[in-house]
Amino acid sequence: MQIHATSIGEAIPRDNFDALIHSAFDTAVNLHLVDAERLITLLVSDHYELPQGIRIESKDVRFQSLTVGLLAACRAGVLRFESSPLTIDLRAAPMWKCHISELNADMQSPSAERSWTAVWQILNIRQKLNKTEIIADDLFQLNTGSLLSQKISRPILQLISSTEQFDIEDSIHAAEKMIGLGPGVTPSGDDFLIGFLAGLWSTSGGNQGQLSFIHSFGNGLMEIAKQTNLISRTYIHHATKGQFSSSLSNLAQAIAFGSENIRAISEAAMHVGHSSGMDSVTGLLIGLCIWNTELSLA
Amino acid sequence: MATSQRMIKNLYRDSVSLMQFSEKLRALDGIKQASAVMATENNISLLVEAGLLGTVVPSSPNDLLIVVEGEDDSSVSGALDQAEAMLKQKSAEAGEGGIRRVPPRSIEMGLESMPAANFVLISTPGEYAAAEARKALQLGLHVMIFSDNVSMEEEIPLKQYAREHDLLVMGPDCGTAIINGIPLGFANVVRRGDIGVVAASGTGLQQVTSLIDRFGGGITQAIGTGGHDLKSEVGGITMLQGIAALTADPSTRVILLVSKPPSPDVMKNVLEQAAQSGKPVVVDFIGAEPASITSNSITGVRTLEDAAVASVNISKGKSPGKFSGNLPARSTKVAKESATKLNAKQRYIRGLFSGGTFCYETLLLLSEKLGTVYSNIPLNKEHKLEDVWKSQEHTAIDLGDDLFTQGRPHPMIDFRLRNERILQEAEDPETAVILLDIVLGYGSNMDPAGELVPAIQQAQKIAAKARRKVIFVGSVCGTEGDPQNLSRQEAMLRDVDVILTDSNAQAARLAAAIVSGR
Repeated sequence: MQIHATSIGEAIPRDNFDALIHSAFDTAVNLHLVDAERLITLLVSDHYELPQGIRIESKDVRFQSLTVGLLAACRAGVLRFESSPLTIDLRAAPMWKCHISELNADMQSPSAERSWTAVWQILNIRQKLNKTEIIADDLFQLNTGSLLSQKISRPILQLISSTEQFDIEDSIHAAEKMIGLGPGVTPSGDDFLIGFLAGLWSTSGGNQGQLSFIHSFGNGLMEIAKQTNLISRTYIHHATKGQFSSSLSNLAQAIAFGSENIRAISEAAMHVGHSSGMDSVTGLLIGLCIWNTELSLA
Repeated sequence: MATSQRMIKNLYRDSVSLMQFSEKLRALDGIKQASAVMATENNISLLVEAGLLGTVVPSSPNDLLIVVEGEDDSSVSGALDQAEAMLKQKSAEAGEGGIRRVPPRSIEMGLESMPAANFVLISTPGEYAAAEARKALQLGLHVMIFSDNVSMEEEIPLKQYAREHDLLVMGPDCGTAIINGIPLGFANVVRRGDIGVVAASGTGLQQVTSLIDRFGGGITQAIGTGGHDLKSEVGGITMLQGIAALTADPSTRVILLVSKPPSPDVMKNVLEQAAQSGKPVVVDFIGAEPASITSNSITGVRTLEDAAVASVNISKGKSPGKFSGNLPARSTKVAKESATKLNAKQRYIRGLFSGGTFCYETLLLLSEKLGTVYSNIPLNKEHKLEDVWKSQEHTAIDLGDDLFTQGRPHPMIDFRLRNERILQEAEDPETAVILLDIVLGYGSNMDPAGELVPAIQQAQKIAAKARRKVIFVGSVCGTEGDPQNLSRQEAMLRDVDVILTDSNAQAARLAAAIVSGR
C-alpha cells in the first residue's frame, strides 16, 4: 500500500536515512534514526503537526504491520518498512515549521492579557474535570493538591524566579527536579518544561539576553534530559530549538494576537494524550508571563 | 498491606492507555493502588514518597515501571502477572500482519500489489526499455521511459500504440516530470497551481517549474516528452497528447511548452493545437524567434526565465509582460564592479554545465552578445571545440554529454569532472569568468554546493597565486522545498564569492556584461 505524506516537519531528514521502529501506537509510530539519538514520528492526523512528524491523512492506514524493532529506510524520498507492504512517499509533502520564535508576543497588550486569562480559566476547569494530578491553580499554593502537584510546585516556583533573574544554574537545578516526573509516556514534568520553553520563545523576540538564556537553558536541559525517555527527549530537543507541535504554537499565537477562536484553539492544545496537552499548556501560560518587560543582560 | 513492582523493558504505551491500564489494575480484587509510569529517577522518588515503593530501585527511563499495593502478597503478585499479560497481549496484537512479502519483480507483480496504479516509470538499460514499455502499455499503463539509448525506430511504434489506446509515453530519455505533484526522475519540489507544462528538455522543465515556484506560481502537471519527440519522424506525438491532456484538465489555466525548435511541420501542428486549446499558451522554442511563434493566444518567449515569468503573470490575470533581454540595474552594477577586478589578458567566459539545455541557452545568449562561442554541442559545426578537454576563447561545455559520462555518473550527481575542469580553467590566464549551473531536486547530488565550494576555493587560490582573480557566476535551479534547500545552497556559494542570479539566462547575460564591460 503506497500513501503520500501530507506534510513533513522541518526535522525530518531530507537525505536518505535508515531507522528502527522504536514504538508503535494506534495512530503514531516512532522511528529511531540510526546514528542519531532522536526519533521521527509517523502520525495519522488531519491537522496535528510535529517538528519531527511525517503526517498522513489517509484514515484507512493501519500501522499493525509496523512492529517494534523492524527496519525502515527512506531512499529518494520514499519510506519503506521491513516486512510491511506500506510505503510512504515523502517527495511532494510540503515542509511544516513552527515559527513561534518569531512571534514576539507582547503579554502586556490588553488583548493578550484577556486571552491569557481566558485560557488559564479553561485550563483549570479542564484539569479538574479530568482529575489530572496537576491543577494549575494548585501550583501556587504549596502543600495543596496531589502528591505529584506538591512535588512539582516548588521546582516550578524556583524555575519562574530563576528565569526572571536569568540564573541559568538555578533554572537547570529546578528543571532537574521536574524532568521525567509524573505519569504518561512523556512525563508531566517534561511536558511542563516543553510548554514553558514555548512561552519563553514566544516572548523573546530578538532580545539577545533572553535568547542567550534560552540557548543556555536549552543546552543544560538536554544534558539532564538523559534522565527521561527517548520520546520525551526528542520533544525537549526540538523545544530547545524553538520547534513545537502545531497545537501548542497555534495556542501561543492565538494568545499573543487575542484570537476570537481562543476556546477551540486551547481545547485542541489541551486534548493531547491524557494530561500531556494540559501540562504543556500550563507550562506555556507560565512561560509567557516570565518576561513581561524589556530586560537586558547587557 | 503489601507492595511490589515490575519493570517491563522498552515498552511504550500512550498516556491514555497507561491511565486506563492503571485503572484496570486498581479495579482488581484486593488491589488498593496501582501505577504504571516511566521508570525515571524522579518518578521512582515520587513512588517511594507515596509509599508504593519500599526502596529506591535503579532508574531506567525507557522502561515501564508497574507498582501495585494490595491486601496481601498473593493479590499483588497476581495483579502484576495480569498486568504483564495484558501488556504482552497488546504487543502481540500489534505484531499481526508482519508477513514478509516478496518485492515485485515485474510490472505484473507490481500491479498485483497496487491494482489501482495506472503509471509505470521504466529505468532499465536502453536495450530492454522498449520491451518493458510495450508490456506496460499492453497492461493499460501510462509510461515514463527514463532510459536513454532507445532508438527512434523503437520509439515511434510505442508512441503510436499509446496514442491509439489513449495512453501517454513520456520519453525515451525523459529525465524529468511532475505528475499529480509527484516529482519523477530529476525533478524539483514545486508548489501546486494552475500552470501545466509540456517539455522536451529535462533541465528546461526543471528551470521553468522551479522559477514558476520562485515567482509565486504553481504547477498542475509537468509532462516530459523526451528529446526526439518533436522531430519529423516522431511528429510530436507526446507533446500533442500533452497539450490535449492539459486542455481537458480543468485545473490547468495556462499551458507552457518548452523545446528546442521543432521540425517545421511539427511546429505548425503544435502551434495549431495550442491555439485551439482555448487556454493561454506560453511557448519557449529555445532559439526560435519569439515573434514567429506569437499569435492571439500564444506568447512566444526567448528564455526559460521569460517563459516562467509570462506563465505566472498570465496565471495571476496579468499580461504576459515585456522582455527586453537587458540586465537589471543591480546586475549591471555588479558587472561593472567585477570587470574592474580582471586584468587585460582575462577576456573569456568558461561555462561548465551539468544541464544540456542550460548550456544550449547560454550558447544562444552569449553568441548574441559576444559572437563566437566554442562548445562540444555548438550552435554550428565550425564552433565545435577541437579538443573538448581544453577550452578555447569563449567556451560553454555540456558535461552531461555522453562523451563525458562514459563510466561515471551524470555531472548533476558526480562533481569530480566539473571540479577538475574548474581548476584547469583557473590555471588559464585568459579565463575571466567561470559560469556554472547548479541543479537541485530529487535525483541530483544531495549537496551540490558542498561539492563545488572546495574546488572554487582552490581555483581562487590558483588565480591569486598568479595575481589574478577569476569571477564565478552561476544560478541555482531549485526550490526551498527541494531536499537540498535552495537558500542553504545559495548561501554556501555566496560565502565563497560566487555571484548568483535567479536564472541561467541572467547568469549568461551577467557573464557577458562582465567580459565586455572594460
